[in-house]
Amino acid sequence: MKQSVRESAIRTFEIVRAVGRVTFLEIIRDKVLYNIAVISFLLLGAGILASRLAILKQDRVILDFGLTALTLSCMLVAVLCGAGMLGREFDRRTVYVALSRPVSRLQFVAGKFAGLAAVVALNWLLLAAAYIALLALAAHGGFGQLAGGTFFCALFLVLAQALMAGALAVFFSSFTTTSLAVVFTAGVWIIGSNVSQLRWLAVKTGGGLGGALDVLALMIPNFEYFNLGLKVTYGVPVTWLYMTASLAYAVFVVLLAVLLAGMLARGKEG
Amino acid sequence: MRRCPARASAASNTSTPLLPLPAACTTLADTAMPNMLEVEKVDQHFRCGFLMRRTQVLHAVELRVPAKSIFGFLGPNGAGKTTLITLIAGLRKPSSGVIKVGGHDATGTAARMKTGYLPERPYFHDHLTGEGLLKYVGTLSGMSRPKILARIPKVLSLVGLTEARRVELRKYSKGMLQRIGIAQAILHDPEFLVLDEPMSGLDPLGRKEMRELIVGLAAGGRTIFFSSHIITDVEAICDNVAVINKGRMIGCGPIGEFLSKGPVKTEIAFAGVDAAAARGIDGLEQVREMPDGIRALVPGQEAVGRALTQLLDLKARILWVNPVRPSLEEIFEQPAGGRRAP
Repeated sequence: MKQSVRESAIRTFEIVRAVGRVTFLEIIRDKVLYNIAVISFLLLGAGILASRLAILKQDRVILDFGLTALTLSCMLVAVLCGAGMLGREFDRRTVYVALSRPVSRLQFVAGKFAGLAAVVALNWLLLAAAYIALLALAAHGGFGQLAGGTFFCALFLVLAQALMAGALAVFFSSFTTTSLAVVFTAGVWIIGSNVSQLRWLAVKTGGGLGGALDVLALMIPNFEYFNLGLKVTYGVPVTWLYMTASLAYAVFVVLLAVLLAGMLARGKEG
Repeated sequence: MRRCPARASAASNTSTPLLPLPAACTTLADTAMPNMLEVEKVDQHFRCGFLMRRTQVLHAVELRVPAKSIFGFLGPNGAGKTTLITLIAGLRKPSSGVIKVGGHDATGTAARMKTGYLPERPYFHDHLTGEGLLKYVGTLSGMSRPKILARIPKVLSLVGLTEARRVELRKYSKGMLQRIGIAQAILHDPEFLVLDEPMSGLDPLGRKEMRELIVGLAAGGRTIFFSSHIITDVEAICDNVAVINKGRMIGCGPIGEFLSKGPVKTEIAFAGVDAAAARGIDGLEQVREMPDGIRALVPGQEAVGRALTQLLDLKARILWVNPVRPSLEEIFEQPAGGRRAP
């Protein structure tokens, strides 16, 4: 029994790795990825220009611009590449080659997500390295002062929220079109980044609508956990407990979205 | 999201059997041979359109394919061939009925390990090389890495793609894509091969190569089930066929029996006689002047001898006499059992 479970786990790992590798290579060749990367580097550069216009706290402007560029870039890669992934496989029927083998749809979807996650992580790594290099070169007040523990925590949380968004894009793509999956994921991200405002609105509104807004705030993935905001700007420390809880939350949302995508993909033509 | 099958959706309930259908459509006389494929009372429907209306695509399909045979699956475009094949390949479960491959449920792991599948118009990730694709599908098939590496040169050699193994699939021709499709289907050495329109879009040379490849694979003891809407492809390599139209099995048996049901015509080509004289010969139809002589059609076998005698009397030089195979559509249009198919 134990042996069989182990063999099954190894087999699943092999399938996820194989599908993930092919997906990674497929996305890496996509021109959209390079367009996003160029825009992101331009945004990083724009941070330096914007800092020249500021009278005070020039380093903080570079810091904020950079973090925004990194977040936008990782989110765009995750959403735009993730939303079309499953639909393209089914439309082009490349999925037939995989699903006619002893491969479950859940294993296949998990593999697709693994490939997407690898691309998002690579994009994050390159941009974060460029961002850190830029800070080291351009910061007047010294790199150490600007980029403390909170800064690095914020970088990891950007990756975590991008992976969450990618998983949601894959989930939406399992039952709708690419463009709608982009719209749905972007909508969830925007609302999920403003959950506290949603709760405030629920209190203000009251009644049935207030209750509905409360339920929405409860159900929607909370992206606020991944936005350290002014804590980064002013170097306010973040606890390990907060980081652990946020990352565990991201893992939960990712697993749930991939599991649901795997179940919904069963009904797709194929 | 879900594609509605365009023509099969128009399935009517009035298809006429071309040949009497046995209780289960088993085609080989040697019934001692175990069945590799068993399809029992399979229905398939899809929901499509804004109102998600139910459209039935397959109607109580029954079929048995004996092991180690080459079995042709004929039907016009939109008849439901690909739908049934996706069910046989285990890509989805039928709405009702049972499909077993080698005694196992078609969607289960055991059946899929036994099956190799070439989809219609195979699409692969075109950024992969031929070798890369085979490594990918080998892993998905549960093969160990040493086994994959040992098997790849063999299958590439078998399909004649050894030289192109490191070329990206985007640079492959249509024929090469079909052959790499066969290679990925046989990589894990399956007992049962399901080939959906393997000759679709190939030129005559490509079709010939594909036919030889299929015959070679069958010689290795595999059971081959392949679909086509072109009779000559099936006729060349299959002894037995099943015919489907509008989602219903309408016939099952040796290919010769189907062809004998169609209109029998013979083309005669000759020279040394002018067209006006040729038109006067009894039994000659559709007389056409060609640069090398005249061609004409003779309906029915018994008229051929009379037409040839008259031509020889006129001192005509006979270039060739060829039977003209009826198309699938012509066969479907023939009356069967005294009734005309609607």
